[in-house]
Amino acid sequence: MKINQPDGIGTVVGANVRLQGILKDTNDISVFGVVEGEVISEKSVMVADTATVKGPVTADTITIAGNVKGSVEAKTKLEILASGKVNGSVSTAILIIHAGAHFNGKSAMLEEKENTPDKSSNLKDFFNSSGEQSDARTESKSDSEPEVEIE
Amino acid sequence: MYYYIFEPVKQSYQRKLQEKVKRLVLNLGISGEIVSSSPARTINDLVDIALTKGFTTVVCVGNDLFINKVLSALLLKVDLSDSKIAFGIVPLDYKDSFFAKKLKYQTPEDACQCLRYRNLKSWDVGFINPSKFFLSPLMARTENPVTLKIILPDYELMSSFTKLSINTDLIVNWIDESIDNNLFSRIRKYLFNQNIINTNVSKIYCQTVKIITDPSIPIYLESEIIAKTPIQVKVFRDYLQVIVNRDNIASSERKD
Repeated sequence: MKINQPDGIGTVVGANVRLQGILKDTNDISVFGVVEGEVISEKSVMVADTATVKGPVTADTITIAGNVKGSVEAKTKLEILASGKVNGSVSTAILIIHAGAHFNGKSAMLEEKENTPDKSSNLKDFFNSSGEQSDARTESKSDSEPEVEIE
Repeated sequence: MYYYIFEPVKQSYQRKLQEKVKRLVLNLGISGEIVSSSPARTINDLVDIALTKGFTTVVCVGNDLFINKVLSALLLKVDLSDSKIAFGIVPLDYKDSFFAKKLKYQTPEDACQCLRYRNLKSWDVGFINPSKFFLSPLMARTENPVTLKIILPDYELMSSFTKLSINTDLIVNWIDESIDNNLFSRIRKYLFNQNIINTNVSKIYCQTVKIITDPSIPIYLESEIIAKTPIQVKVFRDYLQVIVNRDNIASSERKD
């Protein structure tokens, strides 16, 4: 069930909490305790070094400093800090694993978002457009302008 | 027409404040029927009279606890999804009042000016079983940690707390102050450059929640015990039309 809550208000699972079930939030989730079940956020999930999550974790950005046993899906970025332990498959667009982290599982890299420009196609567009521009310039250039050579 | 329900006077400064409010509403042209609750005419009786006479604005003048009582009596008698009754608040304890802070009132003049302009905003209202509505946060506090179980539709959790609060947005906050937060542990964390933030603070957001504690503890609304655990609390979103300060309304919502 999607809950529309005021912006900025998220969920904090304290270190002395043991939660069972599906934890969903449209805002950030911070886990310091134990969660047995799913953790789903539309923004970010932070699994602290004192935390244990037994189940899938899904969010836009995920930071893991604790223990996660289950799949992890981060649409934008997944970062496993030095104290983090992940046992399960991960899928994300940007994966950062710090020295000392434990990761046992499969990794699937998602395509980056459409608004992030693709460098290879950009070069082609640049040279193509440069050629067109130089043609336009030679047509409209004045006599005093030097010739422009495109290599 | 405005229907003013005044809290019974207990101290002389309250009488002066109430007289001031009566003068202000008269001068601002928003006077109406002014009543005061008493053993002979309880809050329920006064609310019945207001509804029978067809008043569309009920204004409560008193401290936060009295305002919650009037609100609860009103909402138990009328379904606001069908009715167009607006609720006005004139808090008298400006320094400590939850409503004064929420409505940004610093003096009785501020409150009465807002009544005059009658800018309305929808507020969430909390409901706790068996039959009490509330606008101020509910609190529970114990000296020794108490086992806590919170049940929501999607999950349930076990924890412990010494301090718990539930506000009308149905954000439940709790903390166990007994765990690892003594002076020695804080000094140790500071010396070894560890995280000093108390990780035993929890916060959840819900629409409806059941709270069970072991042992059963009282839940306070202001200074009064309103219920004892186990309790079931839910929120009615945008249920009550409240007269607010113009600053409390986003520019897109203002009906100028």
